[in-house]
Parts: sequence; C-alpha cells; structure tokens
Amino acid sequence: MSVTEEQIAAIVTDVSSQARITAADFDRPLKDLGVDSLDVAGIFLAIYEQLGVRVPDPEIDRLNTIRLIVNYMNKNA
Amino acid sequence: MIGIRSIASYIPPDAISNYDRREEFALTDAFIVEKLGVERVSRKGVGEETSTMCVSAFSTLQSKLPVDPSEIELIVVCTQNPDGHGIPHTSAVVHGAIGAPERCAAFDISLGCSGFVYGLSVATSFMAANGLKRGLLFTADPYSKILNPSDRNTVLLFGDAATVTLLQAADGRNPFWMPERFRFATRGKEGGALNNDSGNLEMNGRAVFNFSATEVPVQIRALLADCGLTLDAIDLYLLHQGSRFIVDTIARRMQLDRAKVPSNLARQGNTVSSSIPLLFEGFLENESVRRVVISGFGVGLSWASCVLERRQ
Repeated sequence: MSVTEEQIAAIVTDVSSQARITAADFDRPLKDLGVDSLDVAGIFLAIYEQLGVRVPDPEIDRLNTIRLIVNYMNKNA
Repeated sequence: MIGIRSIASYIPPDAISNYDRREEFALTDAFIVEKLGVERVSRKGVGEETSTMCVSAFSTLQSKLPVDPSEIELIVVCTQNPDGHGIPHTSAVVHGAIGAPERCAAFDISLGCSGFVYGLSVATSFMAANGLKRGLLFTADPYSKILNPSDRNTVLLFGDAATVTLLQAADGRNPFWMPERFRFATRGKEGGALNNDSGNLEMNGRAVFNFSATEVPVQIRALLADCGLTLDAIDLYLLHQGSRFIVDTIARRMQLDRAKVPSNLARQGNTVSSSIPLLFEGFLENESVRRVVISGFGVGLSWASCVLERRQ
C-alpha cells in the first residue's frame, strides 16, 4: 500500500502544532509551513513508528517537503 | 531507611539570554519559548569551579536548615566536568571546603543526565550498607567548560547549576522522601550521540530525541508495573529537563496530565544531572504531593527512573 501526501501531512500537523497544511502546500518547504528543526525529529520518529521506515539522517535533511517524503516512503517502504 | 530530607541549589547569577541570539541563530520567540523552553542559560563566573558551585549550594542548604558539617559522613559529587583535570576528585575538594570530618567518605560519580537518579541509589545504598546517618549528594556539571559557543545544538540549551541533596534517615518529625524502587538502563553502543571527543560537547540531537522519546516512557511504565502502580497514582513526573520539546513529547506519548509534568527550564536551561533536583526542590515541602517519579536520561546513553514517596 502506497503512502499518500495526506498521511504524511497528518503526521506533520500532529507533531507540529504550528503547521498549517493544505494540498497546495505539498511542494513547499516544511520550514515555510511552520515546521522547525525539533519538529522534524518528531515527524521522522512518528513516520518510523507508524510506517516502519527508518530514514537515515542525511536523507532527513534532504526530505524537506511533504512530496519528497512521500516519494522516499514509496521507494523504501 | 535512608531518604531525602532536603534539597538546595545554586544557579550562578551570570546568564546569556537566548533572546539576544535571535539573529545569530535565526531563532523565533516561539521556538525559544515553546520548543527550547530556555530563555536564558546560566553561566558560572570566571573564578568559579565545579567545587565552588557545590559549596554555594551547600551554603544555601545551611540557610534552609541546620546542617553541621562535622556530622556529614558521606559526600558524593556527580559530575563529568570536575575541578581542574579531575585529580583530586571534586568530592574531596568539597570535603575540604565545607570542613567535613576525616571519617567522612567522599567520591565522585561520572554520569550525565541520569546522574541524580543513579547517585540517589548509590548514595543511599552506600549509607545503608555502612551504617552512615547523614550524607550529601551533589550534582554539578558546568557544561559551559566544554561548549562550543557557535554550536546551535548545545549552546542554547545547556546551563550551569549545582545542587545538594541531604540524605538521612527519617526522624519522624520532618518531611522525608523515600526512594521506593529504581530502574536503570544503558545503551553504550549509541553513546557517541553525546560526546566530548573533540574537547567540545557534541550532540546528535535527533538521536538523543529518538532515544528519549521512545525509551523513557517504556522504562517509567515498567517501573510503575514493578511497584503495582498506575500512571494516575503518581502526583508528579519530574523528568530531566532536556528541553521543553522533549518533556512535552514524553508527556504526550505517555498521555500524562500536563499539569503533572512540571518544567523549569526558562531561567537556567538544561543543567544535566542538576535538572531533576532543581525541579524536585520546589515540591519537597508541598503536602499535596505524596508520590513522584523522577527520570533522567542522556549521556551514555544512560537512563534511570525512580519512584519516591513522601513519608513523615
């Protein structure tokens, strides 16, 4: 089963109380959506726990939009 | 039965405000308040040493209640940033400075953020095993000695402080906190997440966060199961004050009532092994608080938790 943008957006908004996301935001940098560096740690921990994919640190720094995360998940899940 | 009679602390008056670093580190006020939880980091003075911070905490203790140094039979200092290069051990320096008697045992414990919980077990066990009546457990780990001033990961978080915990048997008259049960854990193979290999503290914040967020709740739940207690049976969860974000995350993941998970980072920052006693100090005399969990986690990786109950 493939991971969707909506699934990742739900994880992001659950971890980052500041984040406000619509479908138009899937290609915007997470930072611009109100996600800070500490939120990122929480987001990728939640992704690991919910989707079973552990993302290496160098990749985490590169996956800075919801679309990039989804693409990575669907390649590596 | 050896337990906690009192706790006193010393926070150096010097501090650096994180608001003054907004531009340097691209910080927002919301990030400072809601994520770091640290508005200023305390910094020891140029002339201050780890031992002198301990002595200042001891002076505060003496202003709270009469403590005769000649009656002290044990001094333990928990630090990984001792005086000078570590010889002599800082506890011996403190011993000399406060005028404790020669029959008093003194040794250091090398642990970071789990140090108070470990130290409490070591010191109370040592006292019970050797028939000692009165001991002092100090925590003082001034990380300002090893911080890289341009490292955003650490310099905004860590502050200097010292605490002293007076350990003795219950006297039937005064409030007394008895450690009921402990749990300890170590994951040495991931210890590089917090290291001083370069002469400066280096922290892989993501690794430390993942470890803390996942393992601390597991340990606390196991500890409560050991005691036959539910989460609701605990009045306060006194967690190591790593950052506001990690305290909030652990509270959220354990579904704890946030009012039961206090935080006091704002004024001094993460003070390593001093963070739990600094927090506990404010609740020792609060009669509505009868049972607490303390939990420390960090350098090692090491984590430890304990249930304490208030006794008269």
